[in-house]
Amino acid sequence: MTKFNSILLVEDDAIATIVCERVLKINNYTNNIISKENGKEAIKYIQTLLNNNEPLPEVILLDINMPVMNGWDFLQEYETLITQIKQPPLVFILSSTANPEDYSKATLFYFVKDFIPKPFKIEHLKLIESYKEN
Amino acid sequence: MNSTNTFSYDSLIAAFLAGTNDAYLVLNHQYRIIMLNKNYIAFHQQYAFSVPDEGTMYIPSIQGTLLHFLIEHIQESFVTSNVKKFCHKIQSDTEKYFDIEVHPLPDKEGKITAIALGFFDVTKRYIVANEIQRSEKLFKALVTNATDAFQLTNDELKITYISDSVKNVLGYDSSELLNNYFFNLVHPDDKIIISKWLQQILDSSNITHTTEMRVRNKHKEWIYIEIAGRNLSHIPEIGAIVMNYRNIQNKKVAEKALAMAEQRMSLLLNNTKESFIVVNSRLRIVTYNRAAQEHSPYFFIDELQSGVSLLSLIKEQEIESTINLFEKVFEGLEGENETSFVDAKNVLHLYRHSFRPLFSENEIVGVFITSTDITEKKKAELQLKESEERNRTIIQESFDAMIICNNNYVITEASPVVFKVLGYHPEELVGRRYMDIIHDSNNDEHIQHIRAVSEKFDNEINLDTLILHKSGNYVWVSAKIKNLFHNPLINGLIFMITDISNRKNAETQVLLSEQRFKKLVQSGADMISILSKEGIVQYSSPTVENVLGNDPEKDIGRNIFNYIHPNDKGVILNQFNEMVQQNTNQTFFGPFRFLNAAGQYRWIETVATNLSEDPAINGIIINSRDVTERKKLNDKQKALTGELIKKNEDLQQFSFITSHNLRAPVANLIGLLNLFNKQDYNDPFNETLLEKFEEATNQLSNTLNDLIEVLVLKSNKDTPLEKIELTEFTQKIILSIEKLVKEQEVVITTDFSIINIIKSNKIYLKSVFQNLISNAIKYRSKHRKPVIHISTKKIDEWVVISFTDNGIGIDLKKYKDRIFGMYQRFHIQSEGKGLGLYMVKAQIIAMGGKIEVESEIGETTTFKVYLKHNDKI
Repeated sequence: MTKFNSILLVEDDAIATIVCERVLKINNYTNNIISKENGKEAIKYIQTLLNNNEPLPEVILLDINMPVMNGWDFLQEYETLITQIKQPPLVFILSSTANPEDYSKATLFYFVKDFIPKPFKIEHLKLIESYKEN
Repeated sequence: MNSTNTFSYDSLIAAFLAGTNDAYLVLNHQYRIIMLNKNYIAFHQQYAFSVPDEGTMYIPSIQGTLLHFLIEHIQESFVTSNVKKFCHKIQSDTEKYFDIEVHPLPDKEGKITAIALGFFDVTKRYIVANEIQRSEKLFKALVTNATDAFQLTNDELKITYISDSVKNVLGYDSSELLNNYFFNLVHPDDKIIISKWLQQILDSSNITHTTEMRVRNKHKEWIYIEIAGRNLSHIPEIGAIVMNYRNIQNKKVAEKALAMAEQRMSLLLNNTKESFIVVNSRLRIVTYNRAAQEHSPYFFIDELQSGVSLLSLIKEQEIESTINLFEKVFEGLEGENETSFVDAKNVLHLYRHSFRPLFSENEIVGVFITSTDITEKKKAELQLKESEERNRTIIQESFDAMIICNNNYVITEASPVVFKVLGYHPEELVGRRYMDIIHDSNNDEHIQHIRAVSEKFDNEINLDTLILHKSGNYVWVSAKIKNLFHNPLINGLIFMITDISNRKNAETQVLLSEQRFKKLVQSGADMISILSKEGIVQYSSPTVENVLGNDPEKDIGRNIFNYIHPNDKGVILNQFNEMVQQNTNQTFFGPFRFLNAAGQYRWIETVATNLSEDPAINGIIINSRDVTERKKLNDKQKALTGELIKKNEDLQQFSFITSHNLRAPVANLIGLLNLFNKQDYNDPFNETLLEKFEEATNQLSNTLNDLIEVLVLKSNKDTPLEKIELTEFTQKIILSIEKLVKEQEVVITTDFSIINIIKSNKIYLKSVFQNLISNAIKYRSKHRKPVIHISTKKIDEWVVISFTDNGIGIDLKKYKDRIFGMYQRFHIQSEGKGLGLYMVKAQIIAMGGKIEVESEIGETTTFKVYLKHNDKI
């Protein structure tokens, strides 16, 4: 039994994606990882789920620095959709940023649960889990 | 003339010339002198070397300068019969002023055959006026001048001071007019005259403007006054418009009479204040002038009429002496007498009459009587006498201390008052030497003066000196010392000693404060001006010349707001008006721009002190300083700081971005390492991890290379410029990406017809062209073949190179801020690292240029590269 039914990973860096997927899988957190290359793809995916009345992933792991639509733009778009979501996913930012402004920017979105510095590690799983229990 | 004329004009004129106290001469058409009087000869000899005589040619010249204007007036008078009167200034050792009158003289047929010229020394009048103009001393002269009224007004003509002499001019007591508006006295028809005149005065400080107008006197009559005014508002001690005026009613009446007079001759006689009466050998009145008519009630007991005997007009007790006088005159001598008369109002009138024989063909046919009102003169003499008397009394009863010294300056006597002034009892001083009680510092000089007094009887001197008070302090006294050795009662030097310490202290203080003020005003970089409430300069300190190059005199009357920069004027004007309205004491202005004499704007800072309520200033004192250099420095510093902050922010952004981009591959490496199965090296996933490990390492290496490239660009300040011919340059670049161009069937067109040759850094420009062209190909539309158009034009100082494509465009609403940012990527189908446009911008900036972008989504994108145009190619 996995901890989460499905997790959405929004990340353009292939290696980072592999690392993330592997950490989630080997620790039995989920068998269902949906990977999207940028914010736009991710919004499209969520929109489709909403249109089909399908349940959303329980967790979204979001990179910031991505082409086409970056993490911040995604969050703004996502915010407009959130009222339509019955059980909003736990959103975590996953970034290797060094800019302290990015941290304060993240707090502007109430649904962003935490800021996870890269690389993604096993300890981070416990952090995500702690939000689920609450 | 009010009579039958039994005498020839010649004799009448001759009598007039002899009788008048003014200088007259008569010329014929040929400018030959027909007649002249002693006064004229005396006048003439003051200014010319020649001796004028009857029959000689008259050359109107003064000190060798021909008076052209006078010749013109004489010629004109012959033709037009007009009387002329004008003033002429003569500059010798001192300035002299003369009124000159030109009277055409008609013969019996009324033809003008001769001209009488009269010269009146009016220097005194002018000196008084000039003095008024030059200093406040004149002020005093005017105040005491009895024929002129003297007043101070503000710029609305409200009278703030008026001399008592106004009573002589207008009949009012000074107190009746004080604090009233002078304007209210002026005749309605003349209000426009006074308004214009006032404006002239206000517009030009320090210059006297004179006009004539009608004002209402105490008896509700309109009388003409001649009024001179000068704006002295800028002089702190005065702070007002200074005016003096006199009654010119007589002159006006005379002028009017002149216009109507049939006989010019009568004018000559009537225009004078002296009374002229001509009697015949039987002592009957033949003719008389207007003045005689006016004055005769004060010396004749009956009405003056032609034909009556003079003896019937005089007091009985005067008859005998008068007959004796006439007898003398008919013998060819001249004589004079005086009359006194008390009128109904109990006013005394004193006249002096001079009697001169009137000749006709060597026979005495009549007597020319000239009568002069000497009442005022007598009164003055009387007053003088009275005041002398009074003075004597004052001296006798004075509170001055009196000391008498013998020829050795030993005090022989001292009045009791010395106790009050010097603290000594008289007996304490007797026997001491005067020298021992005066202050050492002025001893020598003082003694010399006293010796000089001792040398001659009646010598006297006034000295200010310090005298030792009994208390041990020195007191300032004024000592009047007189040699009375010849007076047996005194037989010594008499000293009248007055305590003047209060005056001296005040003088010293005034001197000190004046010196202080002068120093303040004349030295230093601060400019001090006094402004009216409207901002009109009333006074400017000499320092305005050093600071702004303005002549402080010319500053006066200017409105300073006309010199403030249009962009600053509003704020300063508001602030100024607010200060005036709210009567704020002190206000700080500035810095604002102010036009200097050279036509440049200077930054000025001002502290204004509102002293409108202070009658001595009656304005706003502004203390200004040129802060241009400081302001320039400040601005420069501000700009520099701004630039530094911007650079610092850029650097911070750069460091955040680079650290992120370095961290990302490192994080990948750590992440991969964490997943590596160290227990079981043969875990098949380990193999995948190793591959990814290599990839991540390359990623790190590429990032480092990018960063190095950026850093090199950023630190490279020297961008050597070289001549670039764009047509050829573009062809070479297209050639370098030929493969890409051919693959995508790209059409590249150029138009460098406006500018083909520029000066630029070849390496940077190559990178810019490569990046922008390959971007245009990268972001081509799927629906059409790519077309790129490159062209140049000139906008202001820029050469603008435009790159227009027909690609997919870019959403500038969303991405405008980030398009040239580092590691920004907007399109999914590209292999871009998000560094290209960042580098393009950095390179253009390094060359001193800028870049702009325009786009329509799905249609087109244009990048405009602005490079500094260098004309010296």
